[in-house]
Amino acid sequence: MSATRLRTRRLDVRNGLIDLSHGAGGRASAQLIEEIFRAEFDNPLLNRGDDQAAFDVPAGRMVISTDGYVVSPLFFPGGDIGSLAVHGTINDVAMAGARRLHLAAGYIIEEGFPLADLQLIARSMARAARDAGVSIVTGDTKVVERGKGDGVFITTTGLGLVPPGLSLSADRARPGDQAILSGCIGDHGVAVMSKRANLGFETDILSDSAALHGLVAAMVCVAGPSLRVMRDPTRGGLAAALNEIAQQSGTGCLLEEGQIPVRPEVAAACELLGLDPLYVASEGRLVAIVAPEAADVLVAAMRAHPLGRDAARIGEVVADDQCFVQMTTSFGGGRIVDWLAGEQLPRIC
Amino acid sequence: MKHIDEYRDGNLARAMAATIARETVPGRHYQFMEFCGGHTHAISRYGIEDLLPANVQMVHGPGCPVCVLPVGRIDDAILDPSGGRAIMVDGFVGPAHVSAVTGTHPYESIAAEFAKPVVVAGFEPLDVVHAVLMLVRQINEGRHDVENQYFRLVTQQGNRIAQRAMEDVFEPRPSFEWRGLGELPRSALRLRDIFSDLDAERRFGIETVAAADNPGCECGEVLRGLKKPAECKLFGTLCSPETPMGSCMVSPEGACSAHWTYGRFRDRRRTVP
Repeated sequence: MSATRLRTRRLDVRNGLIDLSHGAGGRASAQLIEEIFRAEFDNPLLNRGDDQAAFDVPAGRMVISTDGYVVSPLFFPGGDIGSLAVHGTINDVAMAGARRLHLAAGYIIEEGFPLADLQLIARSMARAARDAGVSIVTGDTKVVERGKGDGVFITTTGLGLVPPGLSLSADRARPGDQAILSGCIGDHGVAVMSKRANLGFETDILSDSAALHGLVAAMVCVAGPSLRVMRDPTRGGLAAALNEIAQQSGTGCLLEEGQIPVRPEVAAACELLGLDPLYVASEGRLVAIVAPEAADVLVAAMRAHPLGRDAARIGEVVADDQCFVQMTTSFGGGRIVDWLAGEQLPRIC
Repeated sequence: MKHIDEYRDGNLARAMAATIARETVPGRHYQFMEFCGGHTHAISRYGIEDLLPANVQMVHGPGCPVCVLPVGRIDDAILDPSGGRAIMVDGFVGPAHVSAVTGTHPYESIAAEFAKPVVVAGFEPLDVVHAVLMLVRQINEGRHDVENQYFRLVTQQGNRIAQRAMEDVFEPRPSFEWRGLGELPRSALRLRDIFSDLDAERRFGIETVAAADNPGCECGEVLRGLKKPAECKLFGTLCSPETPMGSCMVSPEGACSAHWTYGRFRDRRRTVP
């Protein structure tokens, strides 16, 4: 059935607003899906118009990951909630070393939300997905009353397939393993924060939001089974990612502050806002724990990839029954890099 | 970052730490108290204790509420209430930003009365290490002067305009109760009568409600430098930044919070040789 045939007048995307009928399951819902989402996402599985996408899968190990996106503001320097919702979930799948297969997307939209903004977001998602070589094959749209949401919330679910012989998990870090970071930390968090607080920074700091599956593939190619763990340092930043790894593997970690790349403008913004870059989210970076003998070749392969140009060895896994992440500061002393206490930056992704 | 990186330079820090190690007299113990949370935070955040020789130790003193007291009363904080005995501190790192207003002259009576050197220092880590070196030198030379390490911001007389504004608006209270320190006469301010309509305490007739502290909380001892945070039984058990029991754990600049967040791995280092 083609929804367009039921209707003569198209959505007024320029001036129109979401109303409750767009989520009621009637003609208005069908038209919204057709003219905004299907028009942008356009792929055979979605275009079939079923309540689910059905497809064959090759034999092997699959991974699935889901993530909700509530970032505020919806549009920020270097991205928007749409591209973020694609990149973030692709990255969660990629951290298992998996090749991405498909994405599903669910929307909770607030009554009164401009159709023009929704189209921009859908277009941005479509572009991000296309660039990453992945399709959004099924989805859902709900509308909540005015005041019960904040524009739009998006949940995406990703499916991926792990190459044979690869087993990445945070409990696999062992003393002596090396911690490798793919690039500068904190860009995303500071980009979002700068727009929210209306801080007039001289230079616009762009979010690092990016899909990391290509970088991961290059890493798997050179390091293969020597790769133990990968994490993307999103909420809670690098500090949270490393504490999770330490806790899950029952090890500690010893970092060199001077080796951790931070852009000067991000460092300056953090100084101004009273933030520690170690706790500020990135959306296009990863930290990998790798067997020591593969560290050099891994860093070289990462630096050869556009998303890993600033890759650096930042520390080492150590034996520690208290699972402390410790750091030698650039100043020369030692400190802990603890879990974040409380909330540093709400609604960052 | 200009005006920041200079004060966090690891090479300068190592050079200055080597000077401190060279100039300290072997066998002699140097114990310095910083009583401003900004210094406590810098010491923990940059691991400054790791740079100091073993015979130089920092004692974390009263912290924020006390560093903005009329300075004449800080002497109460360094007396043991049981006998009025000064605790074993060889010198003080004086507060940074508050001194921009007060100037360094209010510390002169403390340095003279207790025969202890005071060095007013900035909050950057190199400021703190520099202040330690200046204190070590004063002790070695038998001096107990007030010195100003933070001369890029602080003067001897301070900011007269700000002092006059404070004077116009506030007056000392007859007495005030501080956590861990008890009632101290003329130790806190209140709005003068002409501003009483802006004083919530008087406008709404608020009376202080006595709230019982957890009996195990040793903030008082920590605030007075008599105990280290890890020596409190509640530290890391009932009391952590997520569930603070005492003031030292509430503020990020409190001695217990700073030690928990940045330094608690050292407790183990002490027990395992």
